[in-house]
Amino acid sequence: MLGKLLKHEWKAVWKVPVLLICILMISAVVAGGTFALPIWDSEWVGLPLSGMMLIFMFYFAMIAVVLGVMIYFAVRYYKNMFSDEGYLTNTLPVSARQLLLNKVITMSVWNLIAMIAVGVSIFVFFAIMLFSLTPMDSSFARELVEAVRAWPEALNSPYMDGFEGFCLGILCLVVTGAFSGSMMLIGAITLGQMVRKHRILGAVGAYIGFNVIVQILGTGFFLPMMFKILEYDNIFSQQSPFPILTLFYFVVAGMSLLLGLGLYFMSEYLISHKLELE
Amino acid sequence: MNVLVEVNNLTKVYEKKKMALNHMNLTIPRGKIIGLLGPNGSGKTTLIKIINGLLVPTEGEVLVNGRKPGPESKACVSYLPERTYFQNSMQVSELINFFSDFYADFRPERARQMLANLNISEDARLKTLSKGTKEKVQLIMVMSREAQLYILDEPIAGVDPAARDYILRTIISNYNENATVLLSTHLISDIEKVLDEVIFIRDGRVILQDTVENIRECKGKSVDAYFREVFAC
Repeated sequence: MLGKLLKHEWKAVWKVPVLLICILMISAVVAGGTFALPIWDSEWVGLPLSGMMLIFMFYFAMIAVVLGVMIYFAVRYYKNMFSDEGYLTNTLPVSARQLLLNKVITMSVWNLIAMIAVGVSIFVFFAIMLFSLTPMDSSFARELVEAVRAWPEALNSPYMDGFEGFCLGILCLVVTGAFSGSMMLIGAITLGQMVRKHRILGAVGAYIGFNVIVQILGTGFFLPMMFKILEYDNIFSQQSPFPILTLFYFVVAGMSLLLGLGLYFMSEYLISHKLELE
Repeated sequence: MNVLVEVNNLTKVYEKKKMALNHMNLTIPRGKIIGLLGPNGSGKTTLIKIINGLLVPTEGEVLVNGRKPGPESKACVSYLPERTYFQNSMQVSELINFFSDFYADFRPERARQMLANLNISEDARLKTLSKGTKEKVQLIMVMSREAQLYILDEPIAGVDPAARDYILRTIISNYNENATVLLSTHLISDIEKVLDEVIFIRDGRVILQDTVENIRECKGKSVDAYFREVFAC
């Protein structure tokens, strides 16, 4: 049944995030492409200003994709589970766990896709910008190829020690972040349903509350670690900063995972034991 | 086993100590069309929601086929709520696929036939349909299942007399004879002719459960007239 839930959920939701991502990519190409135009040296201030506005548009598009996807899935979760549509969702012959897993998986995967899309769009923007700024007859392309070729050698330097683990740490952080970010929303909306007369207000309050708690705990827990990292963060040192950063990222990823799991079990308990549709 | 639903000592208390169900006891047999009747706020919808697992009781339990509300009970209960509950962006054909995927007892050919009878296109999106047509689509989906228990909450409220006749015809002609239909409504005179039994509810308690025939014979009046007498303000 979880497979069927995922199939229908995926079919129902893909259009909006794909549209947002398409807009982001177009913005990246347009913003990067402005550097190829002869507008920056123009005497009329309107032209460079238009270019800057297009770059700002790309910046806002990045924020819009991440926030847009989050808000879209949060609203969908609320509507599907607790509004009129909840009368269908909650009478399907599936368990509360399957219902929740369906929502969590879909939301987390799309959050992840949105983050990857933002990363790709930044790459696209800078790639177009670099190639636009470089004259066609320059040796830029050749230098770029040489730099890529030199990369494996650079990895062998002591300064780059533990780089692979660091990349794995970032990957874990991004994946657990997508999960815990989704669970913060799902948990807050589910907990908000306990405030019978003001469910949306309850959800917003719970979300703010979760964030405050996470910030307080995070600051208390990670501040000593940050000082340790700063000791390593010396570019003149030959010591690699990656092992300590990797440790830091894995600890944050672990905390993020724990937070997500805690909120997941809370939400599952509330849906299976405290569900009260209006 | 002739008992389909058992309600034991069921109590539901909402906020501000409002008691919607008050230690209710009830058994619902198989193979009947039963009217769940009572004035506003008597607890009909609360009872229906608890049977469907949309509310959690404060005390007591409901058993459908001997099981508490959950995936197994939901697989054999076909529920029509009093509100439009499908996603507006869906096409009617998508709804048919959705129901086919989740309910083993859903009969898509029956749904298609009923839709065709009403000239409702399968390609139509729900947001393009009128409220009345949406309600008919909902009823068609619910009645296209071969469920053991159909729970219809106010299925004829707010529709014109012609639509009422259509809805009642749809219910009568589509329900499985071994199944039970539980109909909650205020419009007793409209549905009286199709009912086998009635359950009167007041203040969260069952005050009467009897056959329509018995009421007519013993009280010498219709269910509608008897309801008016019992619940006179």
